[in-house]
Amino acid sequence: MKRKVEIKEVFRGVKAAFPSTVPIFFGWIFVALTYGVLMEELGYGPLWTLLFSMICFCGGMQIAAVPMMAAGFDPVQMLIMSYFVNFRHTFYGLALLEKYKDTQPFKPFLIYALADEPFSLAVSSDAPEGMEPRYFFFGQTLLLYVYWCGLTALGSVLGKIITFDTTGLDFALNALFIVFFLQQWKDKAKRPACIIGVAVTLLARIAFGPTMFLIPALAGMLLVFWLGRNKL
Amino acid sequence: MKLTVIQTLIIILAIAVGTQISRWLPFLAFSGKKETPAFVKYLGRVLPPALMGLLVVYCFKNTPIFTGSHGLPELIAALFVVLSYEWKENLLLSVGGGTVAYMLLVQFVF
Repeated sequence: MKRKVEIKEVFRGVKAAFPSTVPIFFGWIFVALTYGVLMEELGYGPLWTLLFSMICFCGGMQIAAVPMMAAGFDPVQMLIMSYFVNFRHTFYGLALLEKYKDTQPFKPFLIYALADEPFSLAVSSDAPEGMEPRYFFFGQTLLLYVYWCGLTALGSVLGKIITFDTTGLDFALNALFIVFFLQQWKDKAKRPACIIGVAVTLLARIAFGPTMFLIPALAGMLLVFWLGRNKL
Repeated sequence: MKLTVIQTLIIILAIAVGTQISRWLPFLAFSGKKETPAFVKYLGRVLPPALMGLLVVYCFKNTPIFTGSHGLPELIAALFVVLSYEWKENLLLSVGGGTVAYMLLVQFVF
């Protein structure tokens, strides 16, 4: 499926997407700095951090991998772990099948980089009038990709210079998702799904404990949505 | 570095492969040649808000409720985020302010 790409349109897409990405840029400063500092403490410099970010591009799992790497070399456990930690991304894909339908030749990149934040941006915004959506979505994801790679590498550099107690810095991510949740909550039609998402995940967390609950939560959500398919 | 260069590169690949499988699956399963099933379309509509809820709970999965500070710093900082966002709808203010509030709480108060 070859489709012509107008370079001018790519620039327009990036420009149009830019305002919506700015809040995430700022939200990521804290997280990226934390990650850079953690990597630095483990002995990985900015170039290593950049490589991790460019190839993996999965904030939460990259951070979770730090203590796992400190514990030793276990690639099989790491692969299984990152699949399950990022299992929710499969659901992001389901949620974006329609929006990403006509996005060639950018589609592989959009899927490659389909992390929490690109997902939340793509579901909550649309291309401006008169622009092909594929350029807009590519602009969004490209900017976020560049931010994450740049900020984490920078965090690793700054980690050497800035020495302060970083306890609690990771709350930035929590705050970011609370805001994204509130944005969904604003739309009254989405509130039942909001409540189902919170309630099912909370129940799963209570029933299965902090390390095993994500898969049961996603399975439970599927079940509830299947049962309510004619009502929601 | 606890791991060697080669070991680290293998770890990077392991993380990337695990992540990419989860991201590509739905697009490979519903590749556009056939009409997407109605149930999958419906999931595409209800999943975004539900997943945002899941992410919020996921963030607090390790918050101790019955021990330590009983999740009070988390509760106070989360309330700050919610109320400030309801008030100003400014993501930077809510994320930055909430994080600073949380850091002050866990480092100096609790």
